[in-house]
Amino acid sequence: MNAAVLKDLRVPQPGEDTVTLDLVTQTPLYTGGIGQWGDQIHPSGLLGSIRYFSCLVARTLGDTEFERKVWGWAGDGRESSQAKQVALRWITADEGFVDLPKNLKRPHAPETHRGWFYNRSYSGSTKLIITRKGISLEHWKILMLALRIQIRNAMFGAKDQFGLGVIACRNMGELSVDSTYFKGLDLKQHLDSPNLGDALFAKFRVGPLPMTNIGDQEARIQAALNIRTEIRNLFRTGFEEDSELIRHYLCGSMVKDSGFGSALNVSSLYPAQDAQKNRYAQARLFLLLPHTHEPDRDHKSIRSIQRHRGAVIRHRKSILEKIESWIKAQPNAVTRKLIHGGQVVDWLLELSR
Amino acid sequence: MPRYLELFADQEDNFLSRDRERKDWQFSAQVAKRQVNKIFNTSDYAAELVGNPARKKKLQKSASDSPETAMRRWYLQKYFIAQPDEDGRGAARIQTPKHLPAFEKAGLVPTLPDPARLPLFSATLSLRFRLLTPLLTRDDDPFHLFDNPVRRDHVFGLPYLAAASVKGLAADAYQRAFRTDDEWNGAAGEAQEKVAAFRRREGHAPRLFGLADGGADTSNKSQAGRLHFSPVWFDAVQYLILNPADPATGQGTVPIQFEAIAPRRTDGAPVEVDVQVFYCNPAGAPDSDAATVRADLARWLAAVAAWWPTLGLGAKRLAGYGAIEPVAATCAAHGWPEWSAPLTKPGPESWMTLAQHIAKGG
Repeated sequence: MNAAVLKDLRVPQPGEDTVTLDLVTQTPLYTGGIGQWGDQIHPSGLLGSIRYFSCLVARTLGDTEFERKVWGWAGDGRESSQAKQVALRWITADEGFVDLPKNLKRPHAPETHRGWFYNRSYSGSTKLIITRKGISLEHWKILMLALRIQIRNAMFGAKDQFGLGVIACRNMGELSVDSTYFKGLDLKQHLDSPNLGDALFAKFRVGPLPMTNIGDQEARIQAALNIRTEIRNLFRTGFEEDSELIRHYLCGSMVKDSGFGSALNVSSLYPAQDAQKNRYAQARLFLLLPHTHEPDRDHKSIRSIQRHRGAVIRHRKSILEKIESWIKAQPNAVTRKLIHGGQVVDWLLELSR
Repeated sequence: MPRYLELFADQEDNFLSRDRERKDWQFSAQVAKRQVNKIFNTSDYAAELVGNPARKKKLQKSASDSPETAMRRWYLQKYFIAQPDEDGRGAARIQTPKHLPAFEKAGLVPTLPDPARLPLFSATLSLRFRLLTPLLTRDDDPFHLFDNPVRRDHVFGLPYLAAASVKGLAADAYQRAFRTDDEWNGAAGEAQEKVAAFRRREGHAPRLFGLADGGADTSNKSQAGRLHFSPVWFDAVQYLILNPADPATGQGTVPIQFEAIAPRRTDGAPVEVDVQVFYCNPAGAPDSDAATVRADLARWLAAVAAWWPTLGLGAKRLAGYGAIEPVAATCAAHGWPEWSAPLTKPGPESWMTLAQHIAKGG
């Protein structure tokens, strides 16, 4: 007998069954915890953010089966459950956790301030190993595309500690995108669920050019809170009785029974460089309007949700114009959104570059 | 003194004392659920938790709204959050089961049998791994304060990964390693039928894992597996939280707490444990020669070496929980040609290296 007994052994194939991404945090990464303390990386928190973003991309392409087939479904008695068909594994360094400033002031209304609490987060290198189980090749391609877009333009993790979660990838080539496949798709876009067709992405400079020292964590995070406040204050006037509804939906609200997670995501500052290799501090912004689904008829907060969501949908064009106008006034600003009537696939492929 | 009481002789507290309840985090969890309905004085309860008057008022209200939620919050802040601030925030804290010394004293730490005492050509395997992320082994104990406690032994309270779970995870890895795509994806029939068909086709699997008969179908006889699995015992516990977002609001809804086996001990040392299996060869039966035994074991070990580090162990492993890294692998055998002493391979590739060594034969 010899090693021929193992000749039919099937092991995970890099590129085919698994993709290993070599990642590094541009801002610290927070994923929640039992004590709301960033002392551990919680795989479920990261899975949740990847799941959410990949489903946005799938919906933009008109794929209604992606979420259940890839991320699984618990079933509802009428239809049986489906298991998750992709595995994620994160490898982090034990010594990568950093202390953040405890309580940062954020301007709330003119001449008033509130606080935002921070504690600890992860900063440094990490690896993400994605293993394909029973996912179809088409869904695998969507997942790869979504990860590229999320790494390039959005954030990961939880938002309790605002402004965190920007990650860079050192081996983006592992996330290959099959442009030919996507360009050949017959799209049936579904506009009744959040999708990237409703998104605005932006990156802009904060501070002078060049700027080799972009400040400590406190300064970087404070900048994100200040940007959030500036954008929020754009909606103190101009929309009459809908102004407060828009602000709460856009920037989040913790009011009992009418709370919202924020539609607006702003990162803290991280180093970037321009075409001339000048270093500067950059912030990125990701806005999705609307970012929530229609509520079920028996949702306990249905009236509040419909009021807020309705206000945002009614004024969506004006809201985006205001925010874009603010962004374009910032130096080195680049904005990306789907132009009305534009090609969805070209838009997604552009986001992935 | 009865023997079972000797095992608890090291305990300082009286078994029935209330003080014990406070010191013993596991005992507290067992009684806390019935105490949920006994929070009569919400003011005292709130005062014990926090000093902030505004927060105390909020807690009094939450205790009267949902005593169970309030009790869970108290329990976590008392035992599983290190130095919680006035809002209850703090780093996760790891706890060690109180009765670990008693468990060890009772001689229940699993050890493999001496292969020399097993039938000819039998063998033992010990696979050491490091736990990289928390391991979920959800139990369905209705008397626990939380809905998702770890699975634990009912006498000593030690968390463990059940032998049946180890076997199931190994069988899953084996199917991934040796099935063909046609065999699984395109095949008709229930999962159980597919598994049986795979094992019959593959040939080694019935000896490793056994095969249930077809019930009324008497043409396929049942077969017992030759591999014997043991539970894997742990000694570090922590809590995790999942907070699914309401798609209609984008906010978290009701947080779900999970008890989990921690990847580090209270002193910060990484958790390293062994999966122990032995192959009991039915000497004299068909396919009981050394070459067959080695082929069976090599394939089994190669399968777990290929897929367990990639997929992990336990519940929610696809999310990243239960991630492991091989540390060492040891094989001892009875009567294998050119295999007199136990062979140990170290390092992250040890399991696969040992599998290939076993496969090479004499």
